[in-house]
This record gives sequence, structure tokens and C-alpha cells, in this order.
Amino acid sequence: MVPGGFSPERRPLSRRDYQLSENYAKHSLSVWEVISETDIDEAVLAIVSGGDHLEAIDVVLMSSDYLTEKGINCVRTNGSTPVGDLVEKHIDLSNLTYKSLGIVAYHIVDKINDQKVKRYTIRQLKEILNQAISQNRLTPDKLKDSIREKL
Amino acid sequence: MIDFGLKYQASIFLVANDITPTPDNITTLIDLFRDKELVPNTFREISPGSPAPRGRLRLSSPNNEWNIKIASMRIDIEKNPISLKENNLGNVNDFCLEVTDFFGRIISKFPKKANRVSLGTIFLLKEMAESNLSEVYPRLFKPPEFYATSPPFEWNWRSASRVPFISGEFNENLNVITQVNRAKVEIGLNDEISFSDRIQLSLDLNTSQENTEYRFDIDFITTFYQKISVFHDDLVVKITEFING
Amino acid sequence: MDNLRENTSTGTINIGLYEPEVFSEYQGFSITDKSATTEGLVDENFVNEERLKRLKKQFTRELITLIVDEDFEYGVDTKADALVRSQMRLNALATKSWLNGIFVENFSNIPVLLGILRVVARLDYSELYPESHIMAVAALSYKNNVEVQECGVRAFESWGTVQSLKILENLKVSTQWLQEYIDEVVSDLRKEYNVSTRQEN
Repeated sequence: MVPGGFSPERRPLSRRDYQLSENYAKHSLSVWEVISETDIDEAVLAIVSGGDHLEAIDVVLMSSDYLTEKGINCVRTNGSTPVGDLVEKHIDLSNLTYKSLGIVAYHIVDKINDQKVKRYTIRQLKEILNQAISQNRLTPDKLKDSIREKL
Repeated sequence: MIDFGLKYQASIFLVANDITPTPDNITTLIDLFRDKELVPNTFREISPGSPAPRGRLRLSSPNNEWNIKIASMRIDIEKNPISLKENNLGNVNDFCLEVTDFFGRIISKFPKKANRVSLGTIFLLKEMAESNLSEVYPRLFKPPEFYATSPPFEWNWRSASRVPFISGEFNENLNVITQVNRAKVEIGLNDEISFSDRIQLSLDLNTSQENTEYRFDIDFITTFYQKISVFHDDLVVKITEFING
Repeated sequence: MDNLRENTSTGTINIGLYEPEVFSEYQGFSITDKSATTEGLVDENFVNEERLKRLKKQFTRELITLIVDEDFEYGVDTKADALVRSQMRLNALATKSWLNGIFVENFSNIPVLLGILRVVARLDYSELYPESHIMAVAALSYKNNVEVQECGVRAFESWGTVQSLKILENLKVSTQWLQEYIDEVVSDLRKEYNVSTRQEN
């Protein structure tokens, strides 16, 4: 699982790291599911294609088994991405409480310590987007102007 | 007689178009003035040789008390008031000592000589009763009949003289420009606005522009500001005494 | 010398206008000459000056509040961005000066400083040059705050110009992860501009 676009390494997890999903108004963290580490670019594609600006982002790879085992409620919801085949890869870590948020936060810290964190520069994001466009998975007109202009 | 200072400005005229907003120059200047916590930023310079305004480097204190503006052919150091209650401008002699230090720092990193040096100040005099205020105009002017019989509520008196300025091997001419004007001013303090009819006094003391040779090093600049601050204070006393009658 | 005259626009003297921390009472003072002259009322300089005054008076507090209160996430547009864009459309020159002023006044206020840098990084390089350039360079030199330094790097990465490359390729920082990021951006920009590195013996 890859949470969307925050920099856990540089600041503690806080209320601002919640993302609103389509179906849950509060207390959810938005993540994207990948089959393996080699598929992280898919999650990045989902995140960046739905964004407003092309900016370097950090992604952390979490373990769904671990989170489920710890009682974190993982709900599959439609993700906000113009890449059609990735819409259903979106998951909300929902109904987070102070305690369960702490579990998620410590898990992220562990993963960072395990080097399961990667920064994608703007150039790398452009390559991912351009590849998706060339594969007809994404049409440029579905991107925000400020992103499309940079490709 | 003086209520508060509105601005002090010291300027040296030299070739500074190489001090552009490059990372090296910005970093050098940040380090030079780190103890003063001056922030690099820009100002727009309009010069005869340039059709469009150009961005030039400036260092400013966050409260705008100090501004060092590096234009293409001059460096201005200005000190601004930040409050009516605190007289942060201080006396001119202290200002001259500070600017000598600042100019010295810049010249140590960007070795240059100037061909002109100046000191400018603006003051607002204390409020005067209308009867006293109206006596200043005929003291300064010999007005034509209309203005003698209809005393103006606004006037502007400006004079420029030239006196020798000798320092070591340098035999220079000093322009002495004094401006006295009556102005209605709006003074804002803590969101309270008050209107006031005041006399404003401006002084501009500068080496003559005729000799364009770049000859003034930091030693001359230091001596200039030492001497000119004494001359300035003396002139202010004489002018304000004259205004008071 | 009339350099003091040069610095005063006709009819108006604006002295010591500044706004300290947004949440404190305004403690600056101003002097405005209310003389009877009507010179300069319709020229471009007057328009820009008036626009700048309005920005300072009406929008500084709003922008800073948006920066401080709104959640920020890289890649996501903010109300602060929208406010600055709308002001740029109305008067780019005045808006540049306005942002410049806020940057200087809040140089030691990290959250506001970061907010301004992030907004500026999202504008085109040419729109706000050279103010944006200087802000980003100042951020790179910021002592004791790696987040501010990172913001400077991000700005240059976002603009992606040859200037960006020249600035970043000579930059050395002590924080490892930041240096790795800088190195990666430099490598990206070199590929973009077909610049090869030369090994010198």
C-alpha cells in the first residue's frame, strides 16, 4: 500500500495527513494498493494523474497484511484518478481513531527505517505519465492544465 | 524643534552592475550581513540606459528599518522609522558610523572605488501654532503681493550651495542642498490617523558630480561620513533656529 | 544629488509602511503628504503603487492566514495558490512586489516562509523573475532549517530552467537525503538539457 503524497520522514503524522475519500467524510487515510514493490509506479501514476501540480512526492510502501492484522479497517473505494484501470486500486484506511492512527504512523516509520520509501522527482513523474499516455491508459485532456503543460 | 526623522540615506556612486542577483552574490551578501539579519530581495531600477525596469539586488531588515539597495551605478543605504514612539533612527553620527561599516563590508568583497558620496536626511519638525507657522513663509521668501496678502497653505523652499570639502589629498566640492516645505501630513499610528500641518526639512549633502573619476576608496568614504555628520548637525541647528525666528 | 527626490513619488511620501506578524496589532506608522498637487494621479506608477497598497492592506493577512491554516500537500492546489494567481492576473508587477515584501517581513516565520516559497514555485519562472529566483536562493542558504532548504531545491526543480541546473549543481548540503535529492534533480536537468559531465584529471 502506498499512501498519497506526504513526507513522513520530515514531519510527524498529523490530522493533515488524512485524505478524504469519496465515501467517508472523516478519519480516513487514502492509500493505493500494489501487488508488489515492482508495481509502485502504478500507485504513483494513480496519485499524480489526479493531482493539480507536478511536484516531487515521497511514497512509502506499507504492508496490508500487517495493517489488517492490527485491526485497521481497509475499505476498497473508487479512487480519484483519470486512469481507469487504477480506480479500483484505491483503499481507505477508514474509521481511524487516535490509537489506530498511531499504529499506522509507527508502521510508516518502520517502513521508512527499512528503506521502503522512495522520492519521485518531477522527471520520473513525467516519464510515468507519458508512458501511461502512450499505452492509452490515460488521455492528456484528463490531466489538469498545469500538469499537461509540463509533459 | 525636530519631532522625528523620516529617513536617513547614504549613497556611494560606483559601477555595481556586476553585483547581480546570482546565487554566489546573494550568498556572499547574506553571509556579509548575517549579524544584521538582512534578507535578500529585489527592487526595480529604472535607468536611462535601460528601456525596461531591471530587477536589482536589495538587502532588507524584515521590519524595513534598513535597506541596502545595490543599483547598477550606485549603492544606497537607507534607514527608515519603524515607530513614532521609538526614535529608532537615532542620531546622524551613529547612522554614518553604521553605513561606513556596511559600505566597508561590501567593498571588501566587491573591491571598487566611487566617484561620488552623499548623505540625505528628512525630518518633520514639531507642530507649531498657526501664528508661528504662518511667520515662517515671509521669513524664507519675499513673496509677490498676491501671496503676501493671501498667505499660502503650501510652499516649498529649496536652495543649493557649493562649498569646498578637503580631506587628505582630496580637494572636492560639496553640494549643500536644503529644502524646507510646509505640508499637510496624515500620520497613522496603530490605526489611528491624525492630520497635521507641519514643516518638513530635508538635507542633501553630496560631493559634486563634475569629477567622474572613480577615486574614493573606503578610507575617504569613512572620513567623508565622519566630517559630514558634524557639518549636517550644525546646519540643522542653524536652519531650525532660523525657521523659529 | 536628488536621489531622495527620485525616491519620492510626486505628491505622496510613504514612510515606514510595514506589517509585522499578522496576528499582532498593526504597529507601524505612516506619513502621507496631503498636498494639493494633482501631479501623477493617472500614470502607471501611481496605478501600481495603489495596487500594491491595496494588496498589502487587504490581502496580506488573508494570504498568511490561508498559508498557516490550510493543509498543504505537494501536488494539491490550495486557496493560497488561487489567491496569488488571481492577483497576478490583475497586476503582476504589484503582486511581485507584494510577495517580495511578505517574504522579507516573514523571513524568520518558517510556516509563512515555506508557504510563500511553495506558492512561488508553482508559478512560471519568468512570471516572478527575479524575485522568485532570489527567494529560492535565499532559501538554499537558510541556516538551521532543512525544510526551507528543501523548498528552495523544489522551487528550482519545478522551474526546471538552465539557471536551476547551474545553481543546484554547485550546491552542497550537509543533510544526506537532501543532497541525494539535489543530485537526482541535477541529473534530471542535465538529461533535459543534454549536458554531460566532464571528468577532469
